[in-house]
Amino acid sequence: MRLSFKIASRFLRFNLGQTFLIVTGIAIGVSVQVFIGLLIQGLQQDLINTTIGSSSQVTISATKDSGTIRSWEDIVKDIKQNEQGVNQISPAADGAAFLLGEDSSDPVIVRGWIFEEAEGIYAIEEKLIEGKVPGEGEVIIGLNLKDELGLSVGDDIKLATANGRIQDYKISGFYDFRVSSINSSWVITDIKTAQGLFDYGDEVTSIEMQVEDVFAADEIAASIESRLNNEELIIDNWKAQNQELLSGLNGQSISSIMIQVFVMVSVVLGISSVLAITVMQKSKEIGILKAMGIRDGDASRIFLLQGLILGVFGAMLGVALGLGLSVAFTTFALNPDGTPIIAFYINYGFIALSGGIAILASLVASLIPARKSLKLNPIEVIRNG
Amino acid sequence: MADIIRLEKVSKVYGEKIKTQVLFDIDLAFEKGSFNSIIGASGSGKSTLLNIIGTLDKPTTGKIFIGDDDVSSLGKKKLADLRNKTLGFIFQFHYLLPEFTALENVLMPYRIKGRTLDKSTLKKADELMDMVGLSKVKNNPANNMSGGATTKNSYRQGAHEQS
Repeated sequence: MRLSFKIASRFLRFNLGQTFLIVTGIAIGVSVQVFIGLLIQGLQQDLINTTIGSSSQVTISATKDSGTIRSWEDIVKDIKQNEQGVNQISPAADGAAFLLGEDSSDPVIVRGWIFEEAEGIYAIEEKLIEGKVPGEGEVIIGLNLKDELGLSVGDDIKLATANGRIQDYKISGFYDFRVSSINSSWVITDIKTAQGLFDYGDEVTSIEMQVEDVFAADEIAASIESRLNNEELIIDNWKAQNQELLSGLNGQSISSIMIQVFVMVSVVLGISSVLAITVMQKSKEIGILKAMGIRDGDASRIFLLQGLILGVFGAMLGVALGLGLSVAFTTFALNPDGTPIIAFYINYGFIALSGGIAILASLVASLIPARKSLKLNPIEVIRNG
Repeated sequence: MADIIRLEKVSKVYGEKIKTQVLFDIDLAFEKGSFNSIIGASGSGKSTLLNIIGTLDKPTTGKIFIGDDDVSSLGKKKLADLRNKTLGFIFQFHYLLPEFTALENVLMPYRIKGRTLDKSTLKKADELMDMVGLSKVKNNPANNMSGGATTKNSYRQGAHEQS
Protein backbone atom coordinates (compact mmCIF):
# COMPACT_ATOMS: atom_id res chain seq x y z
CA MET A 1 0.00 0.00 0.00
CA ARG A 2 2.71 2.46 0.97
CA LEU A 3 4.73 1.58 -2.08
CA SER A 4 1.69 1.99 -4.33
CA PHE A 5 1.03 5.37 -2.75
CA LYS A 6 4.63 6.43 -3.21
CA ILE A 7 4.64 5.40 -6.85
CA ALA A 8 1.23 7.01 -7.44
CA SER A 9 2.26 10.33 -5.93
CA ARG A 10 5.58 10.20 -7.79
CA PHE A 11 3.78 9.58 -11.08
CA LEU A 12 1.50 12.55 -10.40
CA ARG A 13 4.36 14.82 -9.41
CA PHE A 14 6.41 13.77 -12.42
CA ASN A 15 3.74 15.04 -14.83
CA LEU A 16 2.86 18.06 -12.78
CA GLY A 17 1.27 19.98 -15.64
CA GLN A 18 -1.05 17.15 -16.50
CA THR A 19 -1.90 16.54 -12.85
CA PHE A 20 -2.73 20.21 -12.44
CA LEU A 21 -5.02 20.04 -15.47
CA ILE A 22 -6.96 17.05 -14.16
CA VAL A 23 -7.30 18.57 -10.69
CA THR A 24 -8.54 21.81 -12.27
CA GLY A 25 -11.04 19.84 -14.35
CA ILE A 26 -12.43 18.07 -11.29
CA ALA A 27 -12.39 21.33 -9.33
CA ILE A 28 -14.41 23.17 -11.98
CA GLY A 29 -17.00 20.40 -11.99
CA VAL A 30 -17.25 20.44 -8.20
CA SER A 31 -17.37 24.24 -8.06
CA VAL A 32 -20.25 24.36 -10.56
CA GLN A 33 -21.96 21.69 -8.49
CA VAL A 34 -21.48 23.58 -5.22
CA PHE A 35 -22.32 26.97 -6.71
CA ILE A 36 -25.52 25.90 -8.47
CA GLY A 37 -26.61 23.76 -5.54
CA LEU A 38 -26.12 26.54 -2.99
CA LEU A 39 -27.67 29.11 -5.33
CA ILE A 40 -30.83 27.10 -5.83
CA GLN A 41 -31.09 26.16 -2.18
CA GLY A 42 -30.63 29.82 -1.25
CA LEU A 43 -33.24 30.80 -3.81
CA GLN A 44 -35.72 28.33 -2.37
CA GLN A 45 -35.00 29.53 1.14
CA ASP A 46 -35.56 33.09 -0.02
CA LEU A 47 -38.75 32.21 -1.81
CA ILE A 48 -40.14 30.33 1.17
CA ASN A 49 -39.17 33.16 3.50
CA THR A 50 -40.86 35.82 1.42
CA THR A 51 -43.99 33.80 0.72
CA ILE A 52 -44.66 32.08 4.01
CA GLY A 53 -41.99 33.44 6.34
CA SER A 54 -44.29 36.16 7.61
CA SER A 55 -47.55 34.34 7.63
CA SER A 56 -49.35 31.57 9.36
CA GLN A 57 -48.12 28.13 8.31
CA VAL A 58 -50.63 26.06 10.25
CA THR A 59 -53.98 27.67 11.06
CA ILE A 60 -56.81 26.50 13.27
CA SER A 61 -60.05 28.21 12.39
CA ALA A 62 -63.66 27.77 13.31
CA THR A 63 -66.23 26.37 10.89
CA LYS A 64 -68.73 28.83 9.39
CA ASP A 65 -71.48 27.55 11.70
CA SER A 66 -69.70 28.07 14.97
CA GLY A 67 -67.88 31.25 13.87
CA THR A 68 -65.54 31.43 16.85
CA ILE A 69 -63.26 29.11 18.77
CA ARG A 70 -64.35 28.49 22.34
CA SER A 71 -61.85 27.88 25.11
CA TRP A 72 -58.99 28.80 22.77
CA GLU A 73 -56.68 29.38 25.71
CA ASP A 74 -56.79 25.66 26.47
CA ILE A 75 -56.03 24.75 22.87
CA VAL A 76 -53.06 27.15 22.76
CA LYS A 77 -51.78 25.76 26.05
CA ASP A 78 -52.21 22.19 24.86
CA ILE A 79 -50.31 22.81 21.61
CA LYS A 80 -47.55 24.78 23.35
CA GLN A 81 -46.98 21.92 25.75
CA ASN A 82 -47.36 18.91 23.53
CA GLU A 83 -46.68 19.81 19.91
CA GLN A 84 -42.93 19.65 19.24
CA GLY A 85 -42.46 21.32 15.86
CA VAL A 86 -44.49 24.46 16.59
CA ASN A 87 -42.35 27.58 17.03
CA GLN A 88 -44.85 30.37 17.30
CA ILE A 89 -48.51 30.41 18.16
CA SER A 90 -50.82 33.37 18.15
CA PRO A 91 -54.62 33.76 18.39
CA ALA A 92 -56.48 36.17 16.15
CA ALA A 93 -59.94 37.69 16.16
CA ASP A 94 -60.74 38.53 12.55
CA GLY A 95 -63.75 39.91 10.76
CA ALA A 96 -64.82 41.64 7.57
CA ALA A 97 -65.72 45.33 7.70
CA PHE A 98 -65.97 48.44 5.56
CA LEU A 99 -63.67 51.38 5.96
CA LEU A 100 -66.00 54.33 5.37
CA GLY A 101 -64.49 57.26 3.52
CA GLU A 102 -66.07 60.59 2.58
CA ASP A 103 -67.58 59.42 -0.67
CA SER A 104 -66.59 55.76 -0.92
CA SER A 105 -66.01 52.76 1.28
CA ASP A 106 -63.33 50.08 1.09
CA PRO A 107 -63.82 46.48 2.13
CA VAL A 108 -61.21 45.58 4.74
CA ILE A 109 -60.30 42.70 6.98
CA VAL A 110 -59.98 43.67 10.60
CA ARG A 111 -57.40 41.56 12.38
CA GLY A 112 -57.21 41.59 16.15
CA TRP A 113 -53.96 40.28 17.60
CA ILE A 114 -52.20 39.88 20.90
CA PHE A 115 -49.10 41.70 19.75
CA GLU A 116 -46.57 39.93 21.96
CA GLU A 117 -47.66 36.63 20.39
CA ALA A 118 -48.24 37.87 16.84
CA GLU A 119 -44.80 39.48 16.70
CA GLY A 120 -43.26 36.01 16.40
CA ILE A 121 -45.16 35.33 13.20
CA TYR A 122 -45.58 38.71 11.56
CA ALA A 123 -42.64 40.73 12.90
CA ILE A 124 -44.83 43.82 13.04
CA GLU A 125 -42.20 46.02 14.65
CA GLU A 126 -40.05 45.52 11.56
CA LYS A 127 -42.89 46.27 9.18
CA LEU A 128 -44.08 49.37 10.96
CA ILE A 129 -42.91 52.31 8.86
CA GLU A 130 -44.57 55.04 10.89
CA GLY A 131 -46.11 55.36 14.34
CA LYS A 132 -46.45 52.57 16.89
CA VAL A 133 -48.21 49.29 17.60
CA PRO A 134 -51.92 49.98 18.30
CA GLY A 135 -53.36 49.87 21.80
CA GLU A 136 -57.04 49.47 22.62
CA GLY A 137 -59.23 51.54 20.27
CA GLU A 138 -56.35 52.11 17.90
CA VAL A 139 -55.50 50.56 14.50
CA ILE A 140 -52.63 50.42 12.03
CA ILE A 141 -53.28 50.31 8.29
CA GLY A 142 -51.21 49.41 5.26
CA LEU A 143 -49.19 51.66 3.01
CA ASN A 144 -51.53 51.26 0.03
CA LEU A 145 -54.61 52.22 2.02
CA LYS A 146 -52.77 55.18 3.50
CA ASP A 147 -51.80 56.52 0.07
CA GLU A 148 -55.25 55.86 -1.32
CA LEU A 149 -57.03 57.72 1.43
CA GLY A 150 -54.34 60.26 2.24
CA LEU A 151 -54.31 59.51 5.95
CA SER A 152 -51.73 60.25 8.57
CA VAL A 153 -50.96 59.14 12.13
CA GLY A 154 -53.54 60.41 14.62
CA ASP A 155 -56.40 60.56 12.08
CA ASP A 156 -59.67 58.78 12.82
CA ILE A 157 -61.22 56.14 10.57
CA LYS A 158 -64.76 54.77 10.58
CA LEU A 159 -65.29 51.02 10.43
CA ALA A 160 -68.71 49.51 9.65
CA THR A 161 -69.51 45.84 10.27
CA ALA A 162 -72.07 43.64 8.54
CA ASN A 163 -74.44 43.79 11.51
CA GLY A 164 -74.61 47.54 11.30
CA ARG A 165 -72.19 48.67 13.95
CA ILE A 166 -70.16 51.76 13.04
CA GLN A 167 -67.27 52.81 15.21
CA ASP A 168 -64.37 55.29 15.09
CA TYR A 169 -60.77 54.21 15.58
CA LYS A 170 -57.56 56.19 15.82
CA ILE A 171 -54.66 55.43 13.47
CA SER A 172 -51.54 54.77 15.51
CA GLY A 173 -49.27 53.89 12.60
CA PHE A 174 -48.72 52.46 9.14
CA TYR A 175 -47.20 49.12 8.11
CA ASP A 176 -45.73 47.72 4.91
CA PHE A 177 -45.95 43.93 4.40
CA ARG A 178 -44.58 44.28 0.83
CA VAL A 179 -47.69 42.46 -0.42
CA SER A 180 -50.16 44.90 -1.90
CA SER A 181 -53.21 42.74 -1.25
CA ILE A 182 -52.38 42.79 2.47
CA ASN A 183 -51.33 46.43 2.45
CA SER A 184 -54.66 47.50 0.99
CA SER A 185 -56.96 45.30 3.03
CA TRP A 186 -55.73 44.51 6.53
CA VAL A 187 -56.67 46.80 9.37
CA ILE A 188 -54.68 45.53 12.32
CA THR A 189 -55.76 46.20 15.85
CA ASP A 190 -55.60 44.93 19.40
CA ILE A 191 -57.48 41.66 20.03
CA LYS A 192 -59.88 43.23 22.56
CA THR A 193 -60.83 45.97 20.11
CA ALA A 194 -61.65 43.44 17.41
CA GLN A 195 -63.58 41.22 19.84
CA GLY A 196 -65.63 44.28 20.82
CA LEU A 197 -66.28 45.36 17.24
CA PHE A 198 -67.55 41.95 16.15
CA ASP A 199 -69.24 40.90 19.45
CA TYR A 200 -67.01 37.84 19.86
CA GLY A 201 -66.89 38.17 23.63
CA ASP A 202 -63.68 36.48 24.81
CA GLU A 203 -63.44 34.17 21.84
CA VAL A 204 -61.20 34.24 18.76
CA THR A 205 -61.70 33.17 15.14
CA SER A 206 -58.37 31.53 14.45
CA ILE A 207 -55.15 30.33 16.00
CA GLU A 208 -52.11 30.84 13.83
CA MET A 209 -48.81 28.97 14.05
CA GLN A 210 -45.34 28.87 12.57
CA VAL A 211 -43.44 25.62 12.56
CA GLU A 212 -39.80 24.62 12.82
CA ASP A 213 -39.61 22.71 9.52
CA VAL A 214 -41.91 24.40 7.03
CA PHE A 215 -42.06 21.29 4.86
CA ALA A 216 -43.44 19.28 7.77
CA ALA A 217 -46.39 21.68 8.16
CA ASP A 218 -48.86 19.15 6.78
CA GLU A 219 -47.73 16.45 9.22
CA ILE A 220 -47.95 18.85 12.15
CA ALA A 221 -51.41 19.96 11.00
CA ALA A 222 -52.53 16.33 10.89
CA SER A 223 -51.09 15.67 14.34
CA ILE A 224 -52.90 18.73 15.77
CA GLU A 225 -56.12 17.63 14.11
CA SER A 226 -56.02 14.23 15.76
CA ARG A 227 -54.99 15.78 19.08
CA LEU A 228 -57.87 18.28 19.20
CA ASN A 229 -60.39 15.90 17.62
CA ASN A 230 -62.98 18.65 17.32
CA GLU A 231 -65.32 18.77 14.35
CA GLU A 232 -66.00 22.45 14.84
CA LEU A 233 -62.39 23.30 13.99
CA ILE A 234 -60.66 23.37 10.62
CA ILE A 235 -56.91 22.84 10.57
CA ASP A 236 -55.22 24.15 7.48
CA ASN A 237 -51.57 24.36 6.45
CA TRP A 238 -49.62 26.40 3.92
CA LYS A 239 -48.79 23.38 1.78
CA ALA A 240 -52.45 22.67 1.14
CA GLN A 241 -53.06 26.35 0.40
CA ASN A 242 -50.04 26.85 -1.87
CA GLN A 243 -50.04 23.85 -4.18
CA GLU A 244 -48.62 25.89 -7.03
CA LEU A 245 -45.72 27.25 -5.03
CA LEU A 246 -44.99 23.76 -3.79
CA SER A 247 -44.94 22.24 -7.26
CA GLY A 248 -42.78 25.15 -8.40
CA LEU A 249 -40.28 24.42 -5.63
CA ASN A 250 -40.34 20.75 -6.50
CA GLY A 251 -39.71 21.44 -10.17
CA GLN A 252 -36.79 23.64 -9.21
CA SER A 253 -35.29 20.94 -7.00
CA ILE A 254 -35.61 18.31 -9.69
CA SER A 255 -34.07 20.51 -12.38
CA SER A 256 -31.18 21.40 -10.08
CA ILE A 257 -30.60 17.72 -9.34
CA MET A 258 -30.62 17.04 -13.10
CA ILE A 259 -28.01 19.74 -13.68
CA GLN A 260 -25.89 18.36 -10.87
CA VAL A 261 -26.12 14.80 -12.16
CA PHE A 262 -24.98 15.84 -15.63
CA VAL A 263 -22.14 17.91 -14.24
CA MET A 264 -21.05 14.89 -12.22
CA VAL A 265 -21.29 12.58 -15.24
CA SER A 266 -19.09 14.88 -17.29
CA VAL A 267 -16.59 15.07 -14.45
CA VAL A 268 -16.48 11.27 -14.19
CA LEU A 269 -16.03 10.88 -17.95
CA GLY A 270 -13.28 13.49 -17.93
CA ILE A 271 -11.38 11.88 -15.08
CA SER A 272 -11.67 8.35 -16.44
CA SER A 273 -10.53 9.30 -19.93
CA VAL A 274 -7.53 11.19 -18.61
CA LEU A 275 -6.64 8.39 -16.23
CA ALA A 276 -7.02 5.87 -19.05
CA ILE A 277 -4.45 7.86 -21.01
CA THR A 278 -2.07 7.90 -18.07
CA VAL A 279 -2.08 4.09 -18.05
CA MET A 280 -0.94 4.15 -21.65
CA GLN A 281 1.71 6.69 -20.75
CA LYS A 282 2.87 4.68 -17.79
CA SER A 283 2.61 1.26 -19.41
CA LYS A 284 6.40 1.08 -19.72
CA GLU A 285 6.85 1.85 -16.03
CA ILE A 286 4.21 -0.69 -15.09
CA GLY A 287 5.98 -3.24 -17.29
CA ILE A 288 9.30 -2.62 -15.55
CA LEU A 289 7.67 -2.81 -12.14
CA LYS A 290 6.02 -6.07 -13.11
CA ALA A 291 9.35 -7.46 -14.31
CA MET A 292 10.74 -6.51 -10.92
CA GLY A 293 7.99 -8.54 -9.35
CA ILE A 294 5.31 -6.05 -8.33
CA ARG A 295 2.05 -7.85 -7.72
CA ASP A 296 -0.92 -7.10 -9.95
CA GLY A 297 -2.93 -5.86 -6.97
CA ASP A 298 -0.24 -3.34 -6.04
CA ALA A 299 0.10 -2.24 -9.64
CA SER A 300 -3.61 -1.54 -10.08
CA ARG A 301 -3.73 0.11 -6.66
CA ILE A 302 -1.33 2.71 -8.06
CA PHE A 303 -4.09 3.92 -10.36
CA LEU A 304 -6.80 3.78 -7.72
CA LEU A 305 -4.62 5.88 -5.47
CA GLN A 306 -3.94 8.31 -8.30
CA GLY A 307 -7.70 8.65 -8.72
CA LEU A 308 -8.13 9.15 -4.99
CA ILE A 309 -5.40 11.80 -4.75
CA LEU A 310 -6.75 13.65 -7.79
CA GLY A 311 -10.29 13.43 -6.38
CA VAL A 312 -9.34 14.75 -2.95
CA PHE A 313 -7.36 17.70 -4.30
CA GLY A 314 -9.96 18.40 -6.98
CA ALA A 315 -12.77 18.34 -4.41
CA MET A 316 -10.93 20.66 -2.02
CA LEU A 317 -10.09 23.14 -4.75
CA GLY A 318 -13.60 22.83 -6.18
CA VAL A 319 -15.33 23.53 -2.86
CA ALA A 320 -13.10 26.58 -2.37
CA LEU A 321 -13.87 27.79 -5.90
CA GLY A 322 -17.59 27.13 -5.52
CA LEU A 323 -17.77 29.04 -2.24
CA GLY A 324 -15.76 31.84 -3.84
CA LEU A 325 -18.24 31.99 -6.73
CA SER A 326 -21.15 32.09 -4.28
CA VAL A 327 -19.55 34.89 -2.29
CA ALA A 328 -18.79 36.79 -5.50
CA PHE A 329 -22.36 36.31 -6.67
CA THR A 330 -23.86 37.65 -3.45
CA THR A 331 -21.37 40.52 -3.42
CA PHE A 332 -21.82 41.65 -6.99
CA ALA A 333 -25.35 40.62 -7.97
CA LEU A 334 -27.32 43.17 -5.98
CA ASN A 335 -30.84 44.53 -5.88
CA PRO A 336 -31.18 48.28 -6.53
CA ASP A 337 -31.34 48.81 -2.76
CA GLY A 338 -27.95 47.15 -2.23
CA THR A 339 -29.11 43.86 -0.75
CA PRO A 340 -27.97 40.69 -2.54
CA ILE A 341 -30.47 39.24 -5.03
CA ILE A 342 -30.07 35.87 -3.39
CA ALA A 343 -28.78 35.74 0.16
CA PHE A 344 -25.61 33.71 0.75
CA TYR A 345 -26.63 30.35 2.04
CA ILE A 346 -24.26 27.66 3.31
CA ASN A 347 -25.27 24.06 3.68
CA TYR A 348 -22.27 22.19 5.07
CA GLY A 349 -23.90 18.81 4.51
CA PHE A 350 -24.44 19.58 0.86
CA ILE A 351 -20.88 20.85 0.39
CA ALA A 352 -19.47 17.73 2.04
CA LEU A 353 -21.73 15.60 -0.14
CA SER A 354 -20.55 17.32 -3.35
CA GLY A 355 -16.91 16.83 -2.35
CA GLY A 356 -17.58 13.23 -1.36
CA ILE A 357 -19.30 12.46 -4.65
CA ALA A 358 -16.36 13.92 -6.58
CA ILE A 359 -13.87 11.78 -4.64
CA LEU A 360 -16.02 8.69 -5.12
CA ALA A 361 -16.42 9.49 -8.81
CA SER A 362 -12.65 9.81 -9.21
CA LEU A 363 -12.20 6.45 -7.52
CA VAL A 364 -14.78 4.83 -9.79
CA ALA A 365 -13.23 6.47 -12.83
CA SER A 366 -9.82 5.08 -11.89
CA LEU A 367 -11.22 1.56 -11.78
CA ILE A 368 -11.00 1.41 -15.57
CA PRO A 369 -7.25 2.09 -15.83
CA ALA A 370 -6.67 -0.08 -12.77
CA ARG A 371 -8.34 -2.97 -14.56
CA LYS A 372 -6.38 -2.21 -17.67
CA SER A 373 -3.10 -2.42 -15.76
CA LEU A 374 -3.98 -5.94 -14.67
CA LYS A 375 -3.96 -7.06 -18.27
CA LEU A 376 -0.66 -5.38 -19.04
CA ASN A 377 1.93 -8.02 -19.86
CA PRO A 378 5.52 -6.97 -19.15
CA ILE A 379 6.85 -8.71 -22.25
CA GLU A 380 4.74 -6.54 -24.57
CA VAL A 381 6.23 -3.46 -23.01
CA ILE A 382 9.76 -4.78 -23.06
CA ARG A 383 9.59 -6.17 -26.58
CA ASN A 384 8.06 -3.01 -28.01
CA GLY A 385 10.47 -0.76 -26.13
CA MET B 1 25.83 -29.26 -8.32
CA ALA B 2 22.06 -29.08 -8.59
CA ASP B 3 20.44 -27.40 -11.54
CA ILE B 4 18.92 -24.02 -10.68
CA ILE B 5 17.17 -23.60 -14.02
CA ARG B 6 15.97 -26.44 -16.23
CA LEU B 7 14.10 -26.29 -19.55
CA GLU B 8 12.24 -29.27 -20.98
CA LYS B 9 11.32 -29.33 -24.66
CA VAL B 10 10.68 -25.61 -24.82
CA SER B 11 9.50 -24.24 -28.13
CA LYS B 12 8.13 -20.84 -29.03
CA VAL B 13 5.98 -19.85 -31.95
CA TYR B 14 5.15 -16.21 -32.65
CA GLY B 15 2.11 -15.04 -34.57
CA GLU B 16 -1.25 -16.59 -35.12
CA LYS B 17 -1.90 -16.49 -38.86
CA ILE B 18 1.66 -16.45 -40.06
CA LYS B 19 3.55 -18.63 -37.66
CA THR B 20 7.20 -18.15 -36.99
CA GLN B 21 8.83 -20.77 -34.83
CA VAL B 22 11.79 -19.39 -32.97
CA LEU B 23 12.68 -22.08 -30.45
CA PHE B 24 12.62 -25.75 -31.32
CA ASP B 25 12.18 -28.20 -28.41
CA ILE B 26 15.02 -26.90 -26.32
CA ASP B 27 16.34 -28.93 -23.39
CA LEU B 28 18.64 -26.88 -21.25
CA ALA B 29 19.90 -26.73 -17.67
CA PHE B 30 22.00 -24.29 -15.68
CA GLU B 31 24.01 -25.30 -12.65
CA LYS B 32 23.64 -23.34 -9.45
CA GLY B 33 26.49 -20.88 -8.98
CA SER B 34 27.62 -21.06 -12.59
CA PHE B 35 28.14 -18.16 -14.96
CA ASN B 36 26.74 -18.77 -18.43
CA SER B 37 26.47 -16.86 -21.67
CA ILE B 38 24.27 -17.57 -24.63
CA ILE B 39 25.79 -16.72 -27.95
CA GLY B 40 24.11 -16.69 -31.34
CA ALA B 41 23.49 -14.77 -34.54
CA SER B 42 20.90 -12.02 -34.39
CA GLY B 43 17.42 -13.39 -34.83
CA SER B 44 18.43 -16.78 -33.49
CA GLY B 45 16.15 -16.50 -30.43
CA LYS B 46 18.48 -15.39 -27.60
CA SER B 47 16.10 -12.72 -26.31
CA THR B 48 13.13 -15.01 -26.67
CA LEU B 49 14.87 -17.68 -24.65
CA LEU B 50 15.86 -15.22 -21.92
CA ASN B 51 12.38 -13.74 -21.78
CA ILE B 52 10.97 -17.22 -21.30
CA ILE B 53 13.54 -18.12 -18.64
CA GLY B 54 12.83 -14.79 -16.96
CA THR B 55 9.08 -15.68 -16.81
CA LEU B 56 8.22 -12.57 -18.75
CA ASP B 57 7.02 -14.65 -21.70
CA LYS B 58 5.41 -18.06 -21.89
CA PRO B 59 6.65 -20.92 -24.06
CA THR B 60 4.26 -22.35 -26.66
CA THR B 61 5.09 -25.85 -25.46
CA GLY B 62 7.47 -27.24 -22.87
CA LYS B 63 8.22 -26.58 -19.23
CA ILE B 64 10.58 -24.39 -17.23
CA PHE B 65 11.72 -25.26 -13.74
CA ILE B 66 13.27 -22.62 -11.51
CA GLY B 67 14.59 -24.25 -8.36
CA ASP B 68 12.00 -26.94 -7.82
CA ASP B 69 9.02 -24.98 -9.12
CA ASP B 70 7.33 -25.62 -12.43
CA VAL B 71 6.84 -22.03 -13.57
CA SER B 72 3.75 -22.80 -15.66
CA SER B 73 1.96 -24.08 -12.56
CA LEU B 74 2.57 -20.90 -10.56
CA GLY B 75 -0.22 -18.40 -10.05
CA LYS B 76 0.12 -14.72 -10.83
CA LYS B 77 1.09 -13.76 -7.30
CA LYS B 78 3.68 -16.51 -6.91
CA LEU B 79 5.10 -15.56 -10.29
CA ALA B 80 5.36 -11.92 -9.23
CA ASP B 81 7.14 -12.97 -6.04
CA LEU B 82 9.51 -15.18 -8.02
CA ARG B 83 10.42 -12.28 -10.28
CA ASN B 84 10.86 -10.06 -7.27
CA LYS B 85 12.98 -12.36 -5.12
CA THR B 86 14.77 -14.80 -7.37
CA LEU B 87 15.26 -13.18 -10.74
CA GLY B 88 17.19 -10.11 -11.82
CA PHE B 89 16.96 -8.44 -15.20
CA ILE B 90 19.21 -6.21 -17.16
CA PHE B 91 17.33 -5.29 -20.27
CA GLN B 92 18.66 -4.82 -23.76
CA PHE B 93 17.34 -1.28 -23.67
CA HIS B 94 17.70 0.71 -20.53
CA TYR B 95 14.63 0.45 -18.44
CA LEU B 96 14.59 2.65 -15.39
CA LEU B 97 11.68 4.43 -13.78
CA PRO B 98 12.23 8.07 -14.76
CA GLU B 99 10.07 9.23 -11.88
CA PHE B 100 12.57 7.95 -9.35
CA THR B 101 16.23 8.67 -8.62
CA ALA B 102 19.03 6.24 -9.46
CA LEU B 103 19.23 5.05 -5.87
CA GLU B 104 15.47 4.62 -5.63
CA ASN B 105 15.54 2.54 -8.79
CA VAL B 106 18.14 0.28 -7.23
CA LEU B 107 16.04 -0.11 -4.12
CA MET B 108 12.75 -0.68 -5.97
CA PRO B 109 12.80 -4.51 -6.00
CA TYR B 110 13.50 -4.43 -2.28
CA ARG B 111 10.54 -2.16 -1.66
CA ILE B 112 8.27 -4.33 -3.78
CA LYS B 113 9.04 -7.11 -1.32
CA GLY B 114 7.15 -4.96 1.11
CA ARG B 115 9.95 -4.39 3.55
CA THR B 116 10.80 -1.05 5.07
CA LEU B 117 14.23 0.34 4.44
CA ASP B 118 16.79 0.01 7.17
CA LYS B 119 20.31 1.33 7.42
CA SER B 120 22.07 -1.86 6.39
CA THR B 121 20.02 -2.17 3.19
CA LEU B 122 20.72 1.43 2.33
CA LYS B 123 24.41 0.87 3.00
CA LYS B 124 24.44 -2.18 0.77
CA ALA B 125 22.78 -0.24 -2.05
CA ASP B 126 25.35 2.52 -1.59
CA GLU B 127 28.16 -0.01 -1.77
CA LEU B 128 26.76 -1.55 -4.92
CA MET B 129 26.48 1.82 -6.58
CA ASP B 130 29.92 2.77 -5.38
CA MET B 131 31.31 -0.44 -6.88
CA VAL B 132 30.26 0.64 -10.35
CA GLY B 133 31.17 4.28 -9.76
CA LEU B 134 27.66 5.74 -9.57
CA SER B 135 27.90 7.32 -6.13
CA LYS B 136 28.00 10.80 -7.61
CA VAL B 137 24.79 10.46 -9.58
CA LYS B 138 22.81 8.33 -7.16
CA ASN B 139 20.39 11.12 -6.32
CA ASN B 140 19.90 12.23 -9.93
CA PRO B 141 16.57 11.46 -11.55
CA ALA B 142 16.96 8.27 -13.59
CA ASN B 143 16.35 10.01 -16.91
CA ASN B 144 19.08 12.48 -16.15
CA MET B 145 22.07 10.18 -16.50
CA SER B 146 24.35 9.25 -19.37
CA GLY B 147 23.72 6.08 -21.35
CA GLY B 148 26.60 4.23 -19.74
CA ALA B 149 25.54 5.18 -16.28
CA THR B 150 22.01 4.00 -17.04
CA THR B 151 23.28 0.60 -18.09
CA LYS B 152 25.36 0.34 -14.96
CA ASN B 153 22.39 1.37 -12.93
CA SER B 154 20.07 -1.19 -14.44
CA TYR B 155 22.78 -3.73 -13.74
CA ARG B 156 22.72 -2.70 -10.09
CA GLN B 157 18.96 -2.82 -10.10
CA GLY B 158 19.25 -6.39 -11.26
CA ALA B 159 21.97 -7.28 -8.79
CA HIS B 160 20.13 -5.84 -5.86
CA GLU B 161 17.17 -8.11 -6.44
CA GLN B 162 19.32 -10.97 -5.21
CA SER B 163 19.95 -9.36 -1.86
